[in-house]
Amino acid sequence: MNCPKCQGPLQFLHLPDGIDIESCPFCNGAFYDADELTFDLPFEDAKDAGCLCPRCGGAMRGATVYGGKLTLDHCGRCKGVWFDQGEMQKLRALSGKENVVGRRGPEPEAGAGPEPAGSEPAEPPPVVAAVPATREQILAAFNRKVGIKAKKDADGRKKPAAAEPFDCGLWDNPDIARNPCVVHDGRKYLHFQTSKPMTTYVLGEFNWRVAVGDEALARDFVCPPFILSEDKTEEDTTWSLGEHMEPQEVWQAFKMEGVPPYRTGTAPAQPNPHGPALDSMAPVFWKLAAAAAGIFALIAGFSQNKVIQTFPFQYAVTDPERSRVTFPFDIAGRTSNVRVKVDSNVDNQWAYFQMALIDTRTDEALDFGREVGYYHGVDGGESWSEGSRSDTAFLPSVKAGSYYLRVEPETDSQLLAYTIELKRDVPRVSYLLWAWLLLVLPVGWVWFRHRSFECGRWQESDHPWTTEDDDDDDDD
Amino acid sequence: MKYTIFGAGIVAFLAYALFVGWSYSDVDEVKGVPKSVRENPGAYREHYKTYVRHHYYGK
Repeated sequence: MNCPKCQGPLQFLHLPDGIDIESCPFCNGAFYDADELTFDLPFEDAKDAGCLCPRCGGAMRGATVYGGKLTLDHCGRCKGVWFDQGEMQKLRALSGKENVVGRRGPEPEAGAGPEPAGSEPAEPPPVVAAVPATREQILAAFNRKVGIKAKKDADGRKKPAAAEPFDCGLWDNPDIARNPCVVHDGRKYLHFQTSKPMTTYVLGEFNWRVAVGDEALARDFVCPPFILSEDKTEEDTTWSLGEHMEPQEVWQAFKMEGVPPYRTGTAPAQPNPHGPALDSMAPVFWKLAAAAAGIFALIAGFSQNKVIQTFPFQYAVTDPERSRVTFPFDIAGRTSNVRVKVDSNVDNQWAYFQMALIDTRTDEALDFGREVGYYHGVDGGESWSEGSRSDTAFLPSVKAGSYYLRVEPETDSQLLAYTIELKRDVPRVSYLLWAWLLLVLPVGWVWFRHRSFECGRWQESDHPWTTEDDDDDDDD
Repeated sequence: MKYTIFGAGIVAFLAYALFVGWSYSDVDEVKGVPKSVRENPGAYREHYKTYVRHHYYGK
């Protein structure tokens, strides 16, 4: 509900005796239901106040009391009264009653006695229309605290409305021009669907007069768990605000027996069950991803990343022994990896290198092998190539010490030249990429489920989520 | 909370792997390499597994 005077959002104010009034924190006005005043106000001359009742959306009338000494705005429909700042004190002074606000005794039941002669004709009792409405709309009508607001333009003047059209500009939908978003209470509602409902049956209680055969143009806007509905007739436009309730909650509220029917599909304003998880995981993901990047940068910044030795070798098929060993060399620094890179001159040939990094003191070896092969040619006028002349291996957690390398090549080449380069403490970017991938997988899974839920929701709307690719596929 | 723990574990393992040079490379650790390898490189050959080519290049 918004203030009828300044349009600020009203706040509930709890008074003794269980009285809840709606007050405006901006202009300090307050709205009292008719039964929240201890006596009927002696309204005299009344004229249009130019604003709408924050309770029921009815036209407010400015009526004088006590010989024109005070003018109060009251609703002709629900009889609620709006007090501007200071008007309550004036009323107390004029009425001579200190207790203006309070619960009255039970009112006589309707039809219990004849209506006093000369009294103002009572507003028709509110009825509920079985407008083909969503559950949320009906609940909104039942919930007097949710609030209904309307604007009338029959007199040609634009009245304050609960929601104003707003071009959100972010929605990639060609219908955006015809179906704008609306903003209400700081929430952005997206257009969901437009329909033309007709009243076929009346049951229960509504805040406006409804007759069978009434037609309206209805537009629903959603911002889960809220739904904003616009019902437009020739006479007026009614905005209804609803909030999604779980079936069990509704079932218990109406004291129904048994269990509610099984829920199928997705309601327009049904909260996405994956939304909270996604909202909580997304910032954690970014923090962790940044932490991983920071750790990588820190360790990479302090890593040696230094070439220890480069050994050039040659192999000929006529050599009596193809194995080679290097002279001993030192590997310094803390325990970290050693990258071994093999480069060869294979040309339409392959070569396999069996290598061992042997500790001179402990006679322990790290055995590993790498194969290279490079082929190329021209086929059908097109040149092609495949494979590589080089390969690398990472030896894990190599301690500092004195080592030598043994290499034994196998190849189909008659003459092979190859180089082996050893590099110490090489930071591996692939580890960072793997970490990012592992971090994004759970988020991606939740995002996928979140999006699937939203697809299900919007599939029932006027704007189903489709892409041009999907359309193309359909065409195919 | 579970994701935070999972993610923290990933980041912690990343830090460990980067710092100590952990690798998933197929490296065999062999102990007791003969001292004669430096003088006779072929003497170590029996420690090797038989190499079989799995990939054939060319179109």
